[in-house]
Amino acid sequence: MLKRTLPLAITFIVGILMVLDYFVKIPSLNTSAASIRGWMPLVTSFAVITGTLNLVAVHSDRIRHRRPGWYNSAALFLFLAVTVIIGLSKGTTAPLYRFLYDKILIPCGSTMAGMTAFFIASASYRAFRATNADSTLLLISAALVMLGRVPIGEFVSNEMPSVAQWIMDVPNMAGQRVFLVCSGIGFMSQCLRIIVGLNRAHLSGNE
Amino acid sequence: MLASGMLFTLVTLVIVCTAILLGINEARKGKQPQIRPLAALQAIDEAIGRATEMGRPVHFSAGVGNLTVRGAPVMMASLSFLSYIAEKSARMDCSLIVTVAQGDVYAASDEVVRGAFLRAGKPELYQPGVVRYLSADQYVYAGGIVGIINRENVAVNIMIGHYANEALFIAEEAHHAGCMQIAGTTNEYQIPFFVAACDYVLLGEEVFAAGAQLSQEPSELGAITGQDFVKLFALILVLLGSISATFGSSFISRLINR
Repeated sequence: MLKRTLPLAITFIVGILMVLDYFVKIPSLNTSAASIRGWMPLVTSFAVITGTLNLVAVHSDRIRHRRPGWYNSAALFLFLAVTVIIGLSKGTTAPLYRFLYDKILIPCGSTMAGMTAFFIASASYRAFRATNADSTLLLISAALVMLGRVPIGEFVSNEMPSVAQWIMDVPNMAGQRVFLVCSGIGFMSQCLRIIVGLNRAHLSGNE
Repeated sequence: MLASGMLFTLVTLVIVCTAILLGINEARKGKQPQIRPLAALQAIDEAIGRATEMGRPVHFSAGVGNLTVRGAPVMMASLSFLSYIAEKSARMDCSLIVTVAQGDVYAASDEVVRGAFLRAGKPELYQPGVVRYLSADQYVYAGGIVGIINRENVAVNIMIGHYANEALFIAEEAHHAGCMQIAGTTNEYQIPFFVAACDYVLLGEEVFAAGAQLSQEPSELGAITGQDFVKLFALILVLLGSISATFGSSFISRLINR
């Protein structure tokens, strides 16, 4: 009973407290809500430990059974150990720690972010095929926007940048706002059901 | 006592909550709404069946959001999908891989998968390698998923949750690996990428509606009716605002800012 009732009760009390904190200015209530928000990094830290234990379990199993690519798991353990040992012993501002972060992790991330441009090109190529009325409309509007955003567009017609801006500001913005409003209503509905305990997907699946 | 400029927001919140709770109440009395079939939802069963026939795994990812701040409601909705997909996979003896980017999502996903396997009558299928924590860094997470998709020969890639810049990277790599793909997110900036790269997409609010369809819970189905009423309210407000602004009146904008 406690495994279900207690989390639901805590969710309800904290949920209502946070909603009241947003609308009402009562110092004691606002302080309590701020304190609870301050606990979030603590909870997240414990959750990271749980996740790291899973990482260790999955990759040690791969090394033990010499599964394909097991040496990648060994490299993961090596860098995990080095990062944790340096971070705990010398702090996160130590030159070696900064080297691992700034010279390895960040460049790897930037490389992947840069590759997104190529993925946009290949995905656009498939999406912009004029196979029906909708995709033809997409192709025309995308071509106009792209032309309006590069110098050659202005060379073709002086009106091209204005047309591109109109497409972005009017039909595109209208569509985006529909998504925003509908998603926002969906968010509110989902939060309400979680607070009152009608959505319990996080407690071992749907009931 | 009431914070300034919050009166209209509070009244709107009361209207929204009342409409949704009334919808839920009606559904519980037996008046369940008819929801149009969503192609992406019907494709989930077909995809799991296809992966089973091919003897290859299904991959599920909920994105980089967590359960406290970033896209928390959509992450909660994604857990409903995970529950359904895990149960279906277990019943069909199809291998499932779940990758997560946040510690709290890992804990919840692990519990959901364990419960789903138990409901399917196959608790022995649950192993630590089913749900895998990769990294909270979005690109490390994306790289990890791409590696898994290629190394483990994944047949179906399902991405429903909160996604940022890594969405296209994962979806395009999975497309090139020959995966059937079903995606859904409420992040309007990532929806175009999913539409371009995936076979089926749940757009914005459809993620919540699909969750209700999957569960067939009166509380979830009834909430959809309530949401439709709120959408009507928002539409009327937008129309009134547009008309009043056209005639030079700022009545609606002043009302909203109260």
